[in-house]
Amino acid sequence: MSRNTIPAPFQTKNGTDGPSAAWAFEFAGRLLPWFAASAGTLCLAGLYFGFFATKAALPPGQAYSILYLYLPTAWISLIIAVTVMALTVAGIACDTRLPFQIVAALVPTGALLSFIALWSGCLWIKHTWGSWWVWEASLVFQATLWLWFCALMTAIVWVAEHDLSEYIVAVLALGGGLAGAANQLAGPIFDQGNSFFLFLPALANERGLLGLFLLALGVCAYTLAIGALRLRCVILEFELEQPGTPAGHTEP
Amino acid sequence: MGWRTLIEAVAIDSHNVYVWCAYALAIGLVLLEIGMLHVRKRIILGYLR
Repeated sequence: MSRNTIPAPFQTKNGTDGPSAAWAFEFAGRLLPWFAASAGTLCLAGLYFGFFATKAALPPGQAYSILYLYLPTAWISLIIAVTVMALTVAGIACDTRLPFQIVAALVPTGALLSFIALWSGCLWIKHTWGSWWVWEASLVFQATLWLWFCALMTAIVWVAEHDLSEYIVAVLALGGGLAGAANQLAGPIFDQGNSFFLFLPALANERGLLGLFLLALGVCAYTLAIGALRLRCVILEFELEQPGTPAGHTEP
Repeated sequence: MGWRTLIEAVAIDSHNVYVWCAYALAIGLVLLEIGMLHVRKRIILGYLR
């Protein structure tokens, strides 16, 4: 898909021509290679600092390496969830389709990252405590987050009518946000008693934290790269579904 | 330097099967996502031709 493949005409939800989707399509195409290169570089640098540089500082055989996988994916999946909620509010407030298309581009990656965080957490628990599952706050939160992403994906993929799909996505996103806020008010999810945070002091040498920070940035760049590519696909697919759209107008 | 020595030099938890499982799962899922998105893009481009 080259950068100059901008399908036209674009329509906003109220039927008027709008440049927003065309601008997003081109903008995503321009940023895609930069995000992809940043993701690869930052993840490799983070793994270098996480594995090489902390080798002498951490005791071997304690599965600390899993935390370099668990923590960045858990953080970025939570950021994606908050972004999805904010985009939903923006889409409702502005009555435009583009925020919902960005949501459709971000949700699968959010589900993937929360799934990785959930399973890496389970593997760490199995190694440390001998059980595949404990009712531990961060694991329960990741499981809930993954189910929430799956529900959003179901609404996006299986509901063919776009307006109905966006309505369901809005209800799920805002409901999830309210439930998360109520849960946080009832009892903090990320408190110091969280078992994963007990290991942060062990990682708290400057190189270990630098590796963690670089990996988090790398996962963030990966999310943006994949999200940009998927957004271009979502926009094209939507335009191809519109009656009277000249599909041949877009040169691949 | 053999592979075993290289792996042990890279990973602090090189003998931990759970660490290998976690990273293999993550890399596999990321490659799967990139591959599926590539297929989706090819399908759209094929439809546009």
